[in-house]
Amino acid sequence: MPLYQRGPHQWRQEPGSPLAGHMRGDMSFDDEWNQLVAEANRRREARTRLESAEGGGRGGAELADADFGLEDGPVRSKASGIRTATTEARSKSKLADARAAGTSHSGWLAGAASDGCVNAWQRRLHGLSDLVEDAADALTEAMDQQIDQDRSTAAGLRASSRWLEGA
Amino acid sequence: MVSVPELDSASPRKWRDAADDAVAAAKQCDGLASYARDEVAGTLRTCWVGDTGKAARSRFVRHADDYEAAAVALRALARVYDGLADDIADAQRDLHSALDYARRHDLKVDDSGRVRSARSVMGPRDGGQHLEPVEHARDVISAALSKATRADIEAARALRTIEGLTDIGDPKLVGDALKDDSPLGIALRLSGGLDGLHRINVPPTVLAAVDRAALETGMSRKLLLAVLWQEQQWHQNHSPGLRGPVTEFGRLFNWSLAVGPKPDKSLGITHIKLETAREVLERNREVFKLTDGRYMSELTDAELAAEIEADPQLDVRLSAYHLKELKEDPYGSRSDKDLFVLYAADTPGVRELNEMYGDESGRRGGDIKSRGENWDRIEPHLEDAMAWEDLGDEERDQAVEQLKSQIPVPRDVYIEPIYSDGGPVGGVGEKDPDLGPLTPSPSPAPPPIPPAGG
Repeated sequence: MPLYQRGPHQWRQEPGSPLAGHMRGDMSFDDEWNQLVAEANRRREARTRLESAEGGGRGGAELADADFGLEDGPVRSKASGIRTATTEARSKSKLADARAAGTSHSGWLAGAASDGCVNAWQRRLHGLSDLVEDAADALTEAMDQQIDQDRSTAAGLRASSRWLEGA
Repeated sequence: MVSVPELDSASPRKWRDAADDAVAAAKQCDGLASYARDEVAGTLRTCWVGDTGKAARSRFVRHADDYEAAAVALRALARVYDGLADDIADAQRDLHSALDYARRHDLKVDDSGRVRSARSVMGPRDGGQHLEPVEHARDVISAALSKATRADIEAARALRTIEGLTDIGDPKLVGDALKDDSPLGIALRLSGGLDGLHRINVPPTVLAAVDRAALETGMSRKLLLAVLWQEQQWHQNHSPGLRGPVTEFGRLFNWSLAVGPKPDKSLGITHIKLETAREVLERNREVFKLTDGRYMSELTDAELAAEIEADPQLDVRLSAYHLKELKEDPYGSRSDKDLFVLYAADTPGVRELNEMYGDESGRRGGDIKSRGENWDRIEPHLEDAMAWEDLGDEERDQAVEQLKSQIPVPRDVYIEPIYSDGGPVGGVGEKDPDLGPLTPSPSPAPPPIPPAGG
């Protein structure tokens, strides 16, 4: 079902309307229309490719209509993937042997310096993992929020287009 | 200075394991960098178009950079560990063969590497041939200890730089900082703080006096600065300019004690004793004159004490000459650290123990041990401060800018040399210069009385 239909100038909506974010006021309608159709097709193709690569992903007829530059399936998958990677990294980057070397050479300048260095790097790596996990969580949350928004925007658009069809 | 027992018991294998460990951590960082950039940010590029998606993408790209920088630093860490392992293995091999040799020839080897014959030589002289094994063993052991000590110092410096790299999220800057003598590397070490040590709070005139005295006497600037640091009195930390009522009171206090109940009270910013100052003046009359042409050695005790207290530059100069005299007897006064310990208490006992233990502080007792350990603690900071001072203004500015660019607001970065002639170099934010703890840390104890065991 096409998202837009040809019509008179009421397509150029005021900023408050659901369509406002997606239209540029300085193009002709035909140009704009062609551009939007092309973008939507590209995204649909990309989603199909990714979904088959992921082995599934979101079906859902509601998403087929909510094509607003967000494909949440692959993003969720990568967010989950990076969480797995940081968990693994935490267990494999403890620098325990590095710490032991410094401890067993405590009379050496290098021993004390190594202790300071290893402490700092353990903190740094731990901190980086925390940051990445926070970012992954934020990403998943954003997916949830955006999809909710998109659904209501899609619903609004469908209502508008039905109104236009009826006009 | 690495001692014989320290080198003997060192474990190159542990340093190699440490290197493997660092490489393993670097590989994890590589993996995360590539996942964050290629998988997450890459997916966001196609799957989340728009401003918010772009912001999310750049967040993950930044994390990828952080991990890439971490991988570079951790690989450098592995190289330091490996290098240290190699040097220790070489030095240890030489030491072990020399110790075997010493055992076979009945030689006694001290912790410092000093070698003596265990047998007393009572028989007819053989033209000095009996000394050959001693000299041979001593030369091999001394070379092994020197190699190990150099490796230790260099590794420690590199490790302090790598510690500072935890603040750098730009892989290219990490590379810059790791280059030899790079200004950014020095800045990183200086911004790592002073580990609770107090700063040497003296005005530029005194630092200039240190430079002049070092040139005049051939003593190292590092040694003079270390003496200044060690002997700072409590009022120094309140009045960095050596002016103001608190400082005046402090000086007054010292002077009156010098000629009153405690005639051997130490004077001035280098804590020189009146008696010691007198000796220096007697032996170097021509060098110490007043502006009116009189010799300082002609002054009375009270006048001399007043001069020393009033003129920190004179104090520095007297101390430099005193150290020079200490060095004239080379026994137990080989290194700057030896001299630093002797400055507090020059006795045959202390010298003997310097000879026996070398720079090794662990085995010494009481005040000497803590004084020796103080040297170990401040020497790297003095090295860094001196290296920073030797840089040009442009190099220093650029290094500070590079550091600033890496520190996320609002955390401060602050270059903290243990001394500086222009005051601390500024960083981000409004942080006041940290003048250190209000009492010298550690506090200047009374001159140590070396116990029998040193």
